[in-house]
Amino acid sequence: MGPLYNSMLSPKAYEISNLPSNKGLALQNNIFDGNEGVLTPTHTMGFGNTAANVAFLETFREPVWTSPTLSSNRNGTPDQAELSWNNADDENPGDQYLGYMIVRVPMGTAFTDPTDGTEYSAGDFIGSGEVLSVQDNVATNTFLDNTALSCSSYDYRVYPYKFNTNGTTSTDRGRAYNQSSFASATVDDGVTAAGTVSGSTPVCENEGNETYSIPNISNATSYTWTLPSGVSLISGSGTNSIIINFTTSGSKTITVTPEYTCGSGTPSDFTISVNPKPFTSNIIH
Amino acid sequence: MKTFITKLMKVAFLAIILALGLNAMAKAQATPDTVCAESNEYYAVSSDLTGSTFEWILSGGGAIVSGAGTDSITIDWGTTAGLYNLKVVETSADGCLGDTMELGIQVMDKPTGVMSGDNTLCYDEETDITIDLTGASPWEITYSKNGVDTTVSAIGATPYIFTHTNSTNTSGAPVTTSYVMGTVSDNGCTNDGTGSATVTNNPKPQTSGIRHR
Repeated sequence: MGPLYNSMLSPKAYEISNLPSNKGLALQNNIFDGNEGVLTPTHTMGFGNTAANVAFLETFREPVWTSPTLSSNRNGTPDQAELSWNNADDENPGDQYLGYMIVRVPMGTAFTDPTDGTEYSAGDFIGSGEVLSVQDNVATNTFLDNTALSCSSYDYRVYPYKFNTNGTTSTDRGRAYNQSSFASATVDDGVTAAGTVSGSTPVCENEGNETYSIPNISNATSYTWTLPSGVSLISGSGTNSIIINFTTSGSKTITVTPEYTCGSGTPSDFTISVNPKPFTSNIIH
Repeated sequence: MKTFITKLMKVAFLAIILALGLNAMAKAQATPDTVCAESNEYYAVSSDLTGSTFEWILSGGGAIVSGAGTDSITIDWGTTAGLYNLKVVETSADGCLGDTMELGIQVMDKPTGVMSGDNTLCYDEETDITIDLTGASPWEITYSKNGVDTTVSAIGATPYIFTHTNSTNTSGAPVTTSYVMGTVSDNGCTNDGTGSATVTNNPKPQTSGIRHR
């Protein structure tokens, strides 16, 4: 990688597949100088195109991503998913060859790893995964998937890679993806269950207005409260907090259902014990 | 006997009220109660629940002398007339509040009656005995004449005046008639009257016939 990569004799490290089975590959310390960092882990190259050799050599090209993190947000609409991730480790940022490839599959579908050396473009499929974006050396680690998600749920991966122009000469490098250290996240339809209802129990019949609520859900569009007979709504219809009055005594179960653009969430129930109001006669003299 | 009948009527009334569900009506009772000053009166409510406590609230005057916290109390209304207010709030064993029941109570002054009219007359003269009344008409009074009680009802104005008459005193000695005020009542309030009147009719002189010497 970096300017010194060109000085490597062919076959280059990444072209290990071209190494004759009866040849070995010598790595010289003076080739991987200070610009390239320390070669870890150490590996003693043997003959042939062994998997161990391939994996070792790939470490020279694949970017490392120590703590990949991918954040997802439906962004308040059913048709968009906003992704953002942290920076992969770039041991040689000076070459400006670090990129990210965003791949999406329907939620629960297996990903197929990208193949090193293959230059994917947006719209390509890797197995079931659709390549949404290939971002060479961009400054912002964000991507907005606005491809009409229509309340569907997806799994996303962001693969880091090192790149340079693919070509046909001995200086070609192609892309080297890190297939084992990538960022992943799921963007679901945003429909979640109602939280726990809070409020008083027991209460008294007709003794005033009682408040019941669930924690606010940021992407809920409204809340549907279902009240049994003997319970009247005073205020708060459509919100996560209502004020009600109990006109009869007994056990009363109220239900709240969060509503979303993509459907209704699992409702939450709360049972209230309503003690009777005493009926006092007129004062008799 | 009268006390027993009164209690029986109260129990029956409470039962009727519960049956009719009057407790669900407006809190303030439309018709104020009327009592006499210086009287001790019994008040009560009933409930559909057991184990409740009751907070009685008096405003303006009077004092609860017994029963606080229960469903029945006795109030000493004291001496000052006026319109007072009695409220009661029931709290069930579960801690639930009932409606506040409210009763206006008009405390009436007790009527007074003061008799006057001492006089000394000739044997056949008359005089007025006056009883000054306070309170509200119609009054009913009692007084005695020489120990014999007399009741006068439906008195519409004050003072009440009646005439002392005496047949010709030929006894040769003065005749004294003693009037003593008894009780006075108005609108259900009764009070002891005060005052008296003592009327003396002196004897008619017994003059002999004219003699001719």
